Order: sequence, then C-alpha cells, then structure tokens
Amino acid sequence: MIIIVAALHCEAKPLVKHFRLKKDLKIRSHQVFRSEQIHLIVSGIGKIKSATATAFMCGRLPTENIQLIINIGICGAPSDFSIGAIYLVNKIVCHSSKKALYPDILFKHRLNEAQLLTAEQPFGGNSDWAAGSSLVDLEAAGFFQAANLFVSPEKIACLKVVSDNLAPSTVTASKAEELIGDQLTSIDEVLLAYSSLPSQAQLDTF
Amino acid sequence: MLKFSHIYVETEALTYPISKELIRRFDQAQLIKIDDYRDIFNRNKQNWSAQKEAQKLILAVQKDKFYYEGSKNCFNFGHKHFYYSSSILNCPFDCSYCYLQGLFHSANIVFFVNQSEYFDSISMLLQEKLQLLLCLSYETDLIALDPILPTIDGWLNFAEGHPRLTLEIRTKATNCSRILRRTTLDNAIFAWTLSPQIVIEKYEKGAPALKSRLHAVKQAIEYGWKVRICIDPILFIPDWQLHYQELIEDLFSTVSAERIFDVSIGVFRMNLNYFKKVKKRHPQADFMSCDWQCREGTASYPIILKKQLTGHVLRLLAKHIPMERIYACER
Repeated sequence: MIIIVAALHCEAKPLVKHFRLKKDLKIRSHQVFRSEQIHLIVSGIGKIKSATATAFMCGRLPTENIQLIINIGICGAPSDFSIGAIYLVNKIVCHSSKKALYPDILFKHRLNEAQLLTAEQPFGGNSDWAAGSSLVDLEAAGFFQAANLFVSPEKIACLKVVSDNLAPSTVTASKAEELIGDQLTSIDEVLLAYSSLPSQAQLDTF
Repeated sequence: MLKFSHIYVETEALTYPISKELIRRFDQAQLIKIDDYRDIFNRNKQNWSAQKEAQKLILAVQKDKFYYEGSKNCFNFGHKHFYYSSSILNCPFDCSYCYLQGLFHSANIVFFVNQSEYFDSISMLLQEKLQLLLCLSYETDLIALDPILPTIDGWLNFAEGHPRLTLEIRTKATNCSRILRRTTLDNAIFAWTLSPQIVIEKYEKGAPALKSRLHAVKQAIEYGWKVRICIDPILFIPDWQLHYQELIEDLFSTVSAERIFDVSIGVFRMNLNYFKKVKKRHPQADFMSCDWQCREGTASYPIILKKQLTGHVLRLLAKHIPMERIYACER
C-alpha cells in the first residue's frame, strides 16, 4: 500500500489520472483519491498541513501494510537546476528549526538525488538561501516527520520536480500539472522500487 | 568488496585526508554533508535489516569516546586494566547472534577518521594505568574492513611504540595477508572467532568459511604472530556436540596447539535489552529455540545447559591444549 501526499490539486491531478484513483467521498477534511494499492491525499500548502494530512492518511491504514509514504510535488531551485528535472531527495532541512531529516534510499535507481530545504513561505531569488545548492519547498520537513511516526525512513520518499528557479510567482497551476505529468515514468519506477523492498522489514525497527 | 551508494560526512571530517581519499575512491556515491553523525546514526525507527542489505558509510570525527572499559560479558585475559576502543561502528558481516543489532539503531558503518586522536587519548590512559589490554574490534571487524577503511597499520604502528600496551584485534576475516607480512609485534594478538561450518552457513552471513579462517590462522602463526582462538559464542544448535567436536578437530589438524597463544570460549550471552531485539529479528533461529534465563541484566541459556556446552568444548580443547591457556567465560 502506497500513500502519496501532494500539496496541491494541480500536482495530484496527473497522478489521479495515471493511477486511475477514485475520489473518496466519505472523507470531508481532505481530498483523498484511492485505488486498492494507492491512497493519495491533497494536503494543502505548508509543512503543518502536509504533516497533518500525512498523519491523517497513515492513521486510517494498517501501518504494517504501508510500503511507502511519498511526497510528490513541485519545488523551486537555484538556477543551476533545470526546470522540469525530477529529484529523489536524500536530505531535508527544515529552515526554521535547522533540523535535518534523512530518508534512507536503499535501492538502485536512475534518478538524480538532491537535498531540499523546507521553507516557511515562498521566496524569490534575492533570498540568502538562494546561494545554497538545495531544492526548496514548503512541505517536505513536515511530511517526513509525520510519516516517520508511522514507518521507518526507508519507506519515506520525497520526489520533487523543479518548477522555477526561485521565482514562484511564475508557476501556474497548469504548469505544475504539466511538470508532474511529464515525470510519470520516473514516478512509476520509484514506486515500483519502493514497493519491492522486503515487507518483513517493518518488524525490525526500533 | 563493499560499495557505498551514499557517503554521509560530517563537515569537520571533510578536512581529513582519509575522508578525501574515500570520497575520491567512491566517487559514484552520493555525498551528503551532515553536522553530527548521531543525527543519522541514532535516528529512531530505523530498519536494521533493510539497512544491512545496503550499508551506507558515515565519516565522522570522534569527539570524546576514544575507549571504554571492558564489558563484564568479555574476558580480561588476566589483565588488570581492560579496555576496548571503537574506531569503526558496525560490521560488513551479518551474524544472527551479534549484539550490534541490539546495540546500535542503525546498520550503517561509521568510520571515525581522526585516528591520531585515539592514539593521543590512549597514550594518556596508558600513562595512568601503566599496563593495558585494548581490544579494537568488538563493534566491527577491522580486518575485514581494512582494505576500504584502513586502521590496522596505524594501530600496529602505535602498539610498536607502546610496549606496555597489549592490542587484541578480533576478526572473522581472511583478507589479511598484507597485514600479516608486517614485522610481528610481541604486544599484538590477532584473534579469530571460529564457529562450526553449519553455524557459519546459517548464522554468519557474509563471513568467510571455516576452512578459510583456519588457513588465515595458520598463515598468521607461520608469520610469527600471536594468535588467539575464540570459540564464542557457543550456540545450542541441533547436534551441537558433534559440530563443536568437528570444529576443534579441524582446528588442531590445521595448526599445532603449541603455537596457539590461547583459546577463549563462551556460551551465547547478551545484554537483555539487546537480546530482545535480536530475538525479534531472528525469531526462528534454532540457537534461540530453548528456554532463556536472565541474570544481572544478561540473557543466556539455563545454567545446566551452559555447563553442558562449556564442559563439552573444554573437554575437547583440553585434549590438545593446557587448561592454563584456555579462558572460559563464567557468565
């Protein structure tokens, strides 16, 4: 069972279509779409909303059946990152607390990896953070901490598609939808790899 | 040979030449800078088994824990001052009975790159204690990792300059020819852990076969090194009498008893908290299939069974080697 957390409906839309997910009309607090294997929740923007939605979704499912909890969405990045490129995140830093979080990436893959900074609010290229080499988003740190309450870090992933070079006002909903839609093959590969990790692994956490 | 897909490196560790060398060697690895190795190594809710299948390397600077007093579950071999030191945490082998599964939250390998600071700290300890037994390879297998994470030459050079220090380097590895060709030292002991081949096959994943280990033992002795044989842990497995008999026969048909420095034996025993985690990870292991007793925080077999296991192995050893050169753990 895979849980996908997307901040915006426009990010979720290509995934809903691709995985043929049906809206769960019984849930009113969030938009949830699901199939037998995949549960997608639209969290809203920001790390608190992302954490809340992640915990909400995880709490509704038997933990031992969860193979992967993944945050899929767009992000900003300095100009040396190409717009449209997809990254598997190997380190998340919460900008406000400075806490670093580390998903365990235990399988071989063909994607590029990157580090990610979770900010409190969108920012432009004049920010002092722009000098770093991180991707930037608004959710991942909250998402990760909530997910890690339920599963071990090799079952948590964060996939980000670069939508802008630190110019968030240039990103439209249709652009975000297109950027995610263009990366469905890579998303498929990652979901497949994670879902084939040993299932007994959950027993070994401490 | 281990390959690392990810190297986590403390910012401070980056300045050490060995870090730069390792990063250059594993240039395909993702390099992730960290502030403190404990931020990743001590995370809660990690998955030991999954990590063990894809171990990552963490390069760190040891700040203060350069040595520890020897555990009550280990031998002091007659030394008044018995310490151990861990310049690497975790092991490339995956032994089902290993306490590291309980001790550490992570299966990733931590390499402390500031070896010279270990030497400084242990020199000071040696000045205070005058004589010292220092075991180096309790929380890892230094020899197995030496081709990748070199430590042995440094330790042997250090021992060479400190004759009142006795080093024990314990291993299951056999890739030691280069090390053994060094000039021998009177105050360094190579200690091989031996197990019946059936135990190696079932419970020592990734570790060399008994035959290879015996060959390494023979080689070390022929080069003139002091060699300790460790039959520890002795496991209660089906037909254990037969398997341990074969092990000891194989040992003494390969090397002459007179040339073995000493032998230590001990029945499987473990800190209770670690034991609970090991049992959770290996619920079906037959060496855990009997009753257990816990005394003073240590889990082990019932006393009668422990005496049977120890007594049998002792009797077999005593046919070849004087009792004063056999150390049997009483715990």
